[in-house]
Amino acid sequence: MAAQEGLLSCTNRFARIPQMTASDPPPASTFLALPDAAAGARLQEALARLSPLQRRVVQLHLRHGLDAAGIAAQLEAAPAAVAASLAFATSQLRVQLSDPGQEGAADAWIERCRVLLGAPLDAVARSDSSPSPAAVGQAQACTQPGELGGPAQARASEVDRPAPPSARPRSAPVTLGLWPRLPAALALLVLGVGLTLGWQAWRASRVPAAPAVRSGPQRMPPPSAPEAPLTAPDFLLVLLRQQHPDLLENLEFEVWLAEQEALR
Amino acid sequence: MKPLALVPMLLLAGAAGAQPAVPPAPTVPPPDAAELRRTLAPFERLLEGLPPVLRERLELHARAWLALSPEEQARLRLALADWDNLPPQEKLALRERFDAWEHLDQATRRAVLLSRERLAKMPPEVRAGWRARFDALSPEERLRYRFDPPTRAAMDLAGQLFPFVPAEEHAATLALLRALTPAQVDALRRELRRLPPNRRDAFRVQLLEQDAAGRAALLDPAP
Repeated sequence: MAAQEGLLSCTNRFARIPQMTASDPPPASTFLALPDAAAGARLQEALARLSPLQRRVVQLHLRHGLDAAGIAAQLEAAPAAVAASLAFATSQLRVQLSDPGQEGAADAWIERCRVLLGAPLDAVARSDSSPSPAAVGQAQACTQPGELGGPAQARASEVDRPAPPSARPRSAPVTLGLWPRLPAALALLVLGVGLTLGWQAWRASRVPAAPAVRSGPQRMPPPSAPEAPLTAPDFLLVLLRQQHPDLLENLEFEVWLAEQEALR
Repeated sequence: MKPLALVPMLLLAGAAGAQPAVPPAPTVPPPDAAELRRTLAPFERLLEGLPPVLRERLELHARAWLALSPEEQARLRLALADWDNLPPQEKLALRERFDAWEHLDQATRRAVLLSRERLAKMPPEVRAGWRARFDALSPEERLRYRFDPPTRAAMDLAGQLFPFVPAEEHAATLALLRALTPAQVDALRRELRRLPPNRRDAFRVQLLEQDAAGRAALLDPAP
């Protein structure tokens, strides 16, 4: 935000720059003293070193006097990211185009850039106000470093002439990480989850139904159904009682009787 | 617990008292080997895990089963079902008598079965007369006839020679005395008369610890 405020303060001083340049002309070797063609080429070179976002941000700022918030609203981008890009681009241009040795011309390079870019004269006066949509559209259309305005009237008129949307050059997409694409990513994610759930439901419907479980206790058959009751613990006892009824009940009498008969 | 796991315990319970001093003679003809294997086929896995005593017991059941006619087998199934419905006390009493029957020697068993056949052919009044004579005996005298004559003689001898035998050594002492020859019994009487009373029971224990040859060495007179 400090950089944004610094830029805003710079734009507020643009109104005094013509008087400063008129009273104290810069040396011929500096950016301010170069002819328009050479200065335009130098500005084009400096802009070419910036990223597309930085280039677009600084062009909107110089042409239409938009601050970071306005640029962010126009580009539908995060204000903090726009402010950071504007501060970085301004510092880069200042390093390459300003002449610190000139007294009172610290910000004259900005005015020269504004003139070279073909900014409307009232843009300097209303640098704190919102630009017209038409002007912003023209500024957005000018995204390439070679599209400069200013004294090169022929080129400037071509660049600033409104063009139909279909005829405008295809600019690089503005990407601030994943944030601009987040709704699309969320839509794809929801679509994927929906497809997965639908596939699983369809797959579950194709699984054959489990066999019905009979409720209630069921009598389990023995692991081996014996043909004969051979494992009965009293098998021989019961068999003896079947073959010789009352033998066990009268065992003592039977033994006594057998001995009596033997004695006879 | 699996049902088959109970079978060894049940067989063991049935075979606990089925260790006759004299093995009973086979009362049923030996069945066909193939038929015996077929009858025991459902118990093949069970037989593999049984000790030899129980395995022989199960094979004895199978042979007895095969000796029966189909009608007798059906009756036996019903009798086994009826046996389960008997009161526990009655089953316990019958098990004791069956244990005594299995401990009878073979001659006594054969004589008992023959006398039953003869008695069945007698007129009812004659059978009643024999029954009245037996009932005239004292309860102690009647109870002695639960054992065969050699066992009763051994019991009498034990009462004379070893009047204080621990309960857990009754069976072994009776088996020892039953196995002695009359000459060995006379030698035992002489030896016990020579020993002081407090050493007579130690001599009995010494005899129990010996096998037949060791007992013979202790009791037979030196040549």
